[in-house]
Amino acid sequence: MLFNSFEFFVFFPLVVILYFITPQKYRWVLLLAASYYFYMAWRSEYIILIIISTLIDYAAGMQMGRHKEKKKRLPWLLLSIFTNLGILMTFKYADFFIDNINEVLSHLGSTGSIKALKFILPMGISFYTFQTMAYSIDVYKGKIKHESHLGYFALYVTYFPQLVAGPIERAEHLLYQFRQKFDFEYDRVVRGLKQMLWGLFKKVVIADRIGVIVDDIYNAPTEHHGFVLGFATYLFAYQIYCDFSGYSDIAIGASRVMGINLMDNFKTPYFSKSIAEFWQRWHISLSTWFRDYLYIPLGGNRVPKWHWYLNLMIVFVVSGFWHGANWTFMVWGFLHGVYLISALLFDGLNTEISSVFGLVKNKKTQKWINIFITFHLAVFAWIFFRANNIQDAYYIAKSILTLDLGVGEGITFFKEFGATKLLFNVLLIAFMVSLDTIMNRVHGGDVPKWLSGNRQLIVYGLVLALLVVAGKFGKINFIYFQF
Amino acid sequence: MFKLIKNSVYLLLIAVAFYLAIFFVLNQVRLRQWPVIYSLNTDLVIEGGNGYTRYRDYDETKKRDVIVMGSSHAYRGFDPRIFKKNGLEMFNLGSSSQSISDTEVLLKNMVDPKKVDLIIIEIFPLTFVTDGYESTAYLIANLQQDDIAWKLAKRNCGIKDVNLMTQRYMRKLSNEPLYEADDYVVNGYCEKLDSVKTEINFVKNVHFNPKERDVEAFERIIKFTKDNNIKTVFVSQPMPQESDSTLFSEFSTFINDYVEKEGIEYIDYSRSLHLDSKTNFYDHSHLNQSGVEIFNKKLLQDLKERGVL
Repeated sequence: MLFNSFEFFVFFPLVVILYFITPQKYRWVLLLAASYYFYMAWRSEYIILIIISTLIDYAAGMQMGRHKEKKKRLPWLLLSIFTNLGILMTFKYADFFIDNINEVLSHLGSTGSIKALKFILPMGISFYTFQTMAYSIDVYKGKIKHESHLGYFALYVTYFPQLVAGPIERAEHLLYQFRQKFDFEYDRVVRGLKQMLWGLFKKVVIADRIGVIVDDIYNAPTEHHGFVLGFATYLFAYQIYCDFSGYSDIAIGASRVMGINLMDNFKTPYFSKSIAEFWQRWHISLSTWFRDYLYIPLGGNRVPKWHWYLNLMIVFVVSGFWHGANWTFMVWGFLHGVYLISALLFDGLNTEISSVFGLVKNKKTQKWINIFITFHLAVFAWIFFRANNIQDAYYIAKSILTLDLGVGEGITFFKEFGATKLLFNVLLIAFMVSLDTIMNRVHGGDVPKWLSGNRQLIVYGLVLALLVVAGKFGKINFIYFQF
Repeated sequence: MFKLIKNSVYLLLIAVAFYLAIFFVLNQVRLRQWPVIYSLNTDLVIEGGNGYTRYRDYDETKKRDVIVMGSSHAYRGFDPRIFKKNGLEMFNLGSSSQSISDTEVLLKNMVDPKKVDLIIIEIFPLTFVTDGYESTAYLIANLQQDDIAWKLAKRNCGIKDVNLMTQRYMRKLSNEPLYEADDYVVNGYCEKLDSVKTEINFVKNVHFNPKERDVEAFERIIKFTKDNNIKTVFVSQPMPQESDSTLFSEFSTFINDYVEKEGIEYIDYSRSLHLDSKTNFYDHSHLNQSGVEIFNKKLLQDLKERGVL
């Protein structure tokens, strides 16, 4: 089921009403049934994978809970990790490896080939497998106690607001909340609903509108030059942000209505002053996952420098691969790795440049220059994230970097597409950017004085009106559903 | 809870006020001749052109020998002047991408069974396959009667339909079409004299997977015409031979099932009447005037032979 569908518009209020009239001790039954229904509304057969993952991780957790020595826990941890990675590898990555092996075989002159599995990618597979693996690792490390109630554990795996695209929650943060009793609290419920509305606005009014233009250009990049390709890449930066942070807002808001807090996933990342900061503000639940379960176990920064840089690179390439079974995602991750390592290597140089230009004293200017540079580095990397294949990505990057702009072609494109249409998209993005920071404060319970009382009603009234007038309606998937 | 309901009502009222204000203002602001609302909401269809003229020319109280319904293939493929030469008064109620569901609404609301002898429903496979939004949007923008526009909008009752109806009423404030029909001739018909001069993409690699909603509407049309004793013929117009035979043969199988079960009258010219894809068409599927003349003469002859006329 999609958050931006009519079905969810009926489903969610119904679940909320039932939730508040159901006695606390049975609420997990309601939420679990609702979560299974939510997932099965997409494809009922794939619920089996979630059930397998749930049962194996539950059993592994129980077994690990019985033993104090890590040595005896280890086989159960490995069972959990192999099961989850096995599911992920089979359904998400097998065909990628098969295609590459076939490619190598054909280069070696072999006429035979391995048949692709051609499974449909189960929605949200990367999210729930990572969430359950985190649970098993935490139980193994003794960081958390195992969950002995199968119902609560199953709910932790499938909780519908964050099941298909996160935030990837930790058991220590989410599980105990299922046992707490949350009453209907006006302020909290309204904050949740506002966040859902803002998320829907970002998805339907910005991401889906922009997506039409981006798809048009990125699906036939060689028909365009740097000017149009660069424009599409800027638009994609906002499309992906609004699509994914919009999803997170709806997920967090929906959960907040029921009293259950999910972790923040975005903190206006395009205002980051460095790539390191960008990753503290973009898809926070994933970056912290990689930090805790891959980067630190690899040694983090408590190793020789070259090893530290290698750790960083491994984390970013794996993170890229997590997003999709395509070389483009790996290059995207690699680029971010390069950015981060370069920033560490040339940190002194950066300070020197700042002092040469007198920016050390002018902190504000320096801050905005850093934001500008970070934003453009992130935008450049998005080329590889969005391009359909490496060849397209290379063509787009080359057209932009070599200033093969084709301004004439760009003007014709804008004329054909409609300058007013494009202008409206830019204005809507500007509206979103200017309100996003404020909205994040409001949803966090920190309402600016000038926005108190009836003024909030007016702002949200305008957001709702724009949603209806300018939104793209139809069953348009969230981009991160494919990951 | 009461506070939540009260504030939700306030929010809705404010949102409605903003909504109407945005529609109103952006209908008044124009770039060239177009209100900029069409740039903000690209799902809206601009009111005007042949559809606007057609539905204002149509007088449903007038007695007619033949009424033609269907997609653009109908209003560009059935010439009332040729029918007139054969002594038949015909009006063409076709509309852009008219889905069979929309044909049903128009048939039941715009055609008086006592005022027509024969209905020709042009059927094209893709109008059973698409979501039908283009068809409905075009009709809501251009129909003269509010009640029929409401009936079309109420079937889906989605946000897009709400916007279409709002825009319909906003446009009523000015009471004039936004652009004129350049190829409209008479009685709903539009004429094209061009022929194909460039390379064109024919309909290819498409399978006939009809929408359930359209199949049900098709069956209700059959029942309605039978119950009301309306003589009805379903016609598929000639298609360029280069276009996908799979789609048309699958469609033919689908319709022939109804010919056998329900005894409907169906004439399929899509594969049987071979016209030149360059000189008798003006694009990948629409006939030009030379093609229409050949096709209409053959159709009238066949209708007479079948005893329909």
